[in-house]
Amino acid sequence: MPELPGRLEKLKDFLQLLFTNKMAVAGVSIFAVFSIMAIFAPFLHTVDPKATGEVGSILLSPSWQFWLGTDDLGRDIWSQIVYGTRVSFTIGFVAAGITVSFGTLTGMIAGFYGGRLEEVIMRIVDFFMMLPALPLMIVLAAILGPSIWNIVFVVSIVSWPTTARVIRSQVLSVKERAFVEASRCIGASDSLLMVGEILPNVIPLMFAEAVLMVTEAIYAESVLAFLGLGDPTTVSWGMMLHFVFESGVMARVPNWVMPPVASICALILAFTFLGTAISDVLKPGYREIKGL
Amino acid sequence: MALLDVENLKVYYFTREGAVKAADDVSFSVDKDETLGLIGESGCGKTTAVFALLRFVTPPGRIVGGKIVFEGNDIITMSDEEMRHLRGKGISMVFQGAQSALNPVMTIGRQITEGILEHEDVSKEEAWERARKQLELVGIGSDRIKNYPHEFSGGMKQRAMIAIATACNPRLLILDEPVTGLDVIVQRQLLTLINNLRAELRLPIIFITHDLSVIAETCDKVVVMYAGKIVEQASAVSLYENPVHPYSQGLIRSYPSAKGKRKELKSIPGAPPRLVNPPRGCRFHPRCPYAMDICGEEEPAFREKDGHLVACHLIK
Amino acid sequence: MALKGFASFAIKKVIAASITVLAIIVANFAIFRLAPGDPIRMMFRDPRVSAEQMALMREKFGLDEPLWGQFVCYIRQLARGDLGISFWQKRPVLDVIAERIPQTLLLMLVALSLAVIIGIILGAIAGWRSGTKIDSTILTISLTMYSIPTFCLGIILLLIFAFTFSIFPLGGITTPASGLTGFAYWRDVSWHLFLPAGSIVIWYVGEYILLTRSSMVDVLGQDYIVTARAKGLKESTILRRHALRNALLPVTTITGINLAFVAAGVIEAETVFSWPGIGRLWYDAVMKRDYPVLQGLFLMFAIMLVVANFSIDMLYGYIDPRIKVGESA
Repeated sequence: MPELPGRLEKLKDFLQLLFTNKMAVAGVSIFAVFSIMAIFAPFLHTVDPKATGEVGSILLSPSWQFWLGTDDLGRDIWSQIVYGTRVSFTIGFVAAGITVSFGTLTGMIAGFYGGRLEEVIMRIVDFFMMLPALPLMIVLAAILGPSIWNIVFVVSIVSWPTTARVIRSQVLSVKERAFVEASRCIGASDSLLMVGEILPNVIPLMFAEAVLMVTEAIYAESVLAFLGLGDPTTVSWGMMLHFVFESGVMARVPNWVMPPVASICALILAFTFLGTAISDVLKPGYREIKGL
Repeated sequence: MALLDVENLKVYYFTREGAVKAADDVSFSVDKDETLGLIGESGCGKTTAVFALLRFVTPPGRIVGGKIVFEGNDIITMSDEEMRHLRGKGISMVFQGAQSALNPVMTIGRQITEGILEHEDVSKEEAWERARKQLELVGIGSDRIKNYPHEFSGGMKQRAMIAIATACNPRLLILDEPVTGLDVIVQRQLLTLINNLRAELRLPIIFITHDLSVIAETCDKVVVMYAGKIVEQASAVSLYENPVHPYSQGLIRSYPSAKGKRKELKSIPGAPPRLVNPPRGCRFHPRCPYAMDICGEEEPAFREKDGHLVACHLIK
Repeated sequence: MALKGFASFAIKKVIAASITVLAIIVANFAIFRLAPGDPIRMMFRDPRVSAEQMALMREKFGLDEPLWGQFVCYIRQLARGDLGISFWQKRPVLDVIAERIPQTLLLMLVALSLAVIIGIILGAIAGWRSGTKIDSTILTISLTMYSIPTFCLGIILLLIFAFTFSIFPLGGITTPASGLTGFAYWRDVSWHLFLPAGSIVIWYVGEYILLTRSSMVDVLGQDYIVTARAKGLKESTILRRHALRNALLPVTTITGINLAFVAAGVIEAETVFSWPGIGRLWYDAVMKRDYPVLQGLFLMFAIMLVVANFSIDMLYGYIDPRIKVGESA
């Protein structure tokens, strides 16, 4: 097994290279801004986002008290945006984590063991990939009922096949490489091979996938919430859009409409840029092409 | 006047690490009816030199000096449009590794007629008729004219490439490692074909390879290249019997012979230099068994010995 | 000889597609019946429905039988073309869905044709000029367009072009109660079509540009491009006949895979713009908790996807001679 310092060196190199990429920098900056919002939510001039107001405080324009005004139930829009960040991050990271873990596990088993097992697993994967994603999510969410964890579950079910496929291809190509044969020759056991040789080569890809899965999850949550399948005990950006869409006053309240739209787009873009930058940087020859 | 006259050609690749002097001050010529062999290890600059003949040198590479005079015109200073007309019609090339050199979604006939129709003012029927004749010429039946590349074997693809390259009756044909990577029987067939073409079409050929035995069979004249420079020029027979430059000697000696006495195979110790920073003086001197002090300081000029042109300080 | 290769390819695909359709039918049944909670109770949340009525409903829908019996019942109904009754509209689900299909077809055909043509052209240019400023500009813009969710895009377009600058209508397919006919009617429809189609196009174009571009870059690195150049062909000829034709092969394959995302785009765009198609029906059915309609919609979307993928596979088999003619040497 290679020594740890070697691995850390590689990681440091990779990160240094990554941050020369403009897209990566843009992505991380946006992510940083939202992270601050999520972590320091109570200290950012916010109130309880679900607290409705009296009749006199509905549909207010932006003011010193309510930075973005209020919605049709008197709730502070700015607070909804700030606390909504937490919802997006929670769903994003948890769903991405589950998807990537499960997808990697299945992909690795399928790729490594091959044969019947691989066939069976890949047939299941293919079948899931055949099903249209959004309709499936809508149907599952409608039946299971609206809750954050149901949404996480639904998103994971729909997204894991892609990850499984991607990881499996990578495993297949790593398997062919000489050093795996060499390790096998000296008698390494299957699990040792998987963890020791194949996994390290799969981890960078897992990371790139995870980032892209976060975008899938954030998108999925916002769409489902927009369509009315959001968790009523939370306030997410998608739900804000659902409320404003249903309110009938969408035309007159850009202060209510634009912030959630902008937040959803910004966070998805941030992770898309970051994910694209990571997979670009991971491609062999990146250094040479960029002349570094 | 020679058909092709390459004078002091310099092709450099400009990378972050510096300029890779892939072809440095290369000069040779080809007469009508002559087959020139270009031999050397991988990376010695033979392909680069020949790419320059078709102006295929792309950034970060650039032709930085010299002249390439074909039929009296300097290729380097030609316009893009003139160059384009020359390709396929004046000078034609068959590339290394024809396996992926054919468009998979076009029939072989189309790939031949496409060149004909581009350069010559003939009707489609005529073009297709000529395409059929080309296929017969290279030994692929004309009934296969509507086949796709994936339906051909490796040797047949190579013949197809030759059919395409000779379709417009070029005045000079360049073959870049045409038989490398094919099994010996196919090699034999292909070499026979090439020799027949030489005889039938009286086509001047530049034949690039790293395989000495092939050169002996097909070429009149041979140019030996090493690390971007020409080290020896001689007739093929003469080079075989009497290699003068130490590198040529090493090459000839390292080839096993099926006939004659069994002798020890000698390889040339060391490895070719990186062309970003080639050795001072003669580029071969670090590996040369006869190296003298001057070899590490001054580049040898071409001198004549036994009818060969050799760049070596050993010759007075 | 040519047909044999294609025929075996086609047969394999038909079998695969049929199996998938069967699996979808089973899955559709499973999802809706095996969901937690009593389906009847879910359907009739209205407390005024008495226990006897619910028992009657259960019997009618075959829910008092074991699961296998229910499944057989379901298959029988499907074979008759019976997708159940909509709770909300109290009429056959099939009718509810069928009457909305033409509007969606109109929207999709317009949006997809535009997106594919523009996307391929721009993608080819970006691939050809890869590494240059044009390329990186096109790349970044496409990546952005592709990442923004369609409904967000729709809302933005709505705010800008319908609310702020009243260029386009706010929604629907025609101006209500206008009584227009003939040419004037179609012009009105096109006016309404613009923004929803635009939302879908912007997203889909981004995807196509990225696809075509990367395919183009791969192809341009191939040896046969050098061969074509050595023949002395014009650059435009090489691009068209050699590069593009090969680059479009993987683009075709991936089009099939990405159709699922078009479904999502249609649902989102129709919802935002109240376009009366089957996309909007999803939203209406969700809001009304109309499960039979949802079930019918899911079945329809999933099967349409299989059929569309199959058609694209057939198209691919036709344009790639390696499949059409099969291997031989």
